Amino acid sequence: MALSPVRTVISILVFAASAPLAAQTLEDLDTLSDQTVDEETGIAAALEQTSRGDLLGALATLERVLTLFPESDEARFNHAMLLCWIDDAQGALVEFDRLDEDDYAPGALEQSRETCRSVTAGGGQ
Amino acid sequence: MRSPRRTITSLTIASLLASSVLATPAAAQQRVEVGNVASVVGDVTLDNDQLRRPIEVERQQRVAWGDLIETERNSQLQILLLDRSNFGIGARSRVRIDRYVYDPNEGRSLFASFLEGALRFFSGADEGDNSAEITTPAGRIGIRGTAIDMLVGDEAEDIAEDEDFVGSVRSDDDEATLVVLRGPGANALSGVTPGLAEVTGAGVTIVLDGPGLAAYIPREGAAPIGPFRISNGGLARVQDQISPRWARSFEDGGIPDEVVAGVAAAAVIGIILGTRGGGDDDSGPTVDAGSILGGGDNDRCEDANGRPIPCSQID
Repeated sequence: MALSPVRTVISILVFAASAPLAAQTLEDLDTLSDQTVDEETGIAAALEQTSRGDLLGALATLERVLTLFPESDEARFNHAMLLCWIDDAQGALVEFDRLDEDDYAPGALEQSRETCRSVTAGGGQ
Repeated sequence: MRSPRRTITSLTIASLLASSVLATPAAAQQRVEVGNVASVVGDVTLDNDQLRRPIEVERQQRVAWGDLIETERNSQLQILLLDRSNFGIGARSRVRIDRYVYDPNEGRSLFASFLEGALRFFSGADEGDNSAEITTPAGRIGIRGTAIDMLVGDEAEDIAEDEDFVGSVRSDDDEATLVVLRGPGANALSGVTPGLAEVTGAGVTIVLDGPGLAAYIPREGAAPIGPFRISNGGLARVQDQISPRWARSFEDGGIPDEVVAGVAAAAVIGIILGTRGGGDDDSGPTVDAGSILGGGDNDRCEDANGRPIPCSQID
């Protein structure tokens, strides 16, 4: 399932209002876990974490989403892109290569690959 | 007014509770819960010294010192710890949280045993002095602020020995340990601390300080081999071990029929478009929430009911 930008914004706002920024109790962790039983709120949570610079947290969130929704095109794409942002260009390109061009906007994957290569030094092989 | 009888009853109950606590084995009193199971699929069990038999793990199961987590075939889970560090555990794996201490002001200390299978670790909060040490049958991995993948067992052996740098070595398929640093690297978005891992075996330590660098300990008593850059094929196989459901979704050709072009990629493509090309700023790319939300709108296509559809269907 893909998200419309409007629904994504709403989901992020809902998430930002409810999720603890720095989990320090087990109940906080439950709240984080709850966010990812739904594909849409899970992806929104990951985007919110990304916007705060919590890239490893966002990756972990997307991996929970992909555990339950392994065919989520958006989660797959965002996961690969986040690997790029943490400078794991090789890992990102390996994941991008598994995605189907037909599932995304024309040229989107190739553009992402190029961006990833340019962002990171010596990425890919 | 409170009746004397009720007071006596309350005191009796309190006394019974107190004696019950005193009679409980010390280990049971000291169960230190440090995280939860944030996601789980398949057959996963938890065992410890206080349980007669392993229990089935469900989401939000509390995880404590001494708990041994075991996954079966086609199963996986993620454990979130209090500082938001987390373990992604793949199929046919065994991991035990030996000790974990977290103080939001002081930092985090983690000791875990990774006995078999596939494990991914992401560090959590940056604040304070953080350390993590994971022991495997063949060695020890010290972790600082990083994303790291680890395999123990026959898959580690198979993948490592297919790497040109490693080749054919004498390995033990119960002990073989493969470690791959995933990041963050020096070119990560600004504000993200680069990660580092120290892989130790037989008193020899190898430092992994860049994404894609790997080390292999073939057996207990052997020094690590590396660092070497893992091949794309090897990295894909590691990923498949850690996320078996994700990997199988590609094997099954299981792309859903309602696949949508354009919108799916919009959110993060916004980051790309919005954060590159700032030539005067040499501090590296940054994330701008506005660009995340605003990006990719040009690619959005919807049907008459506002549902996203492939743009190719629009005349």
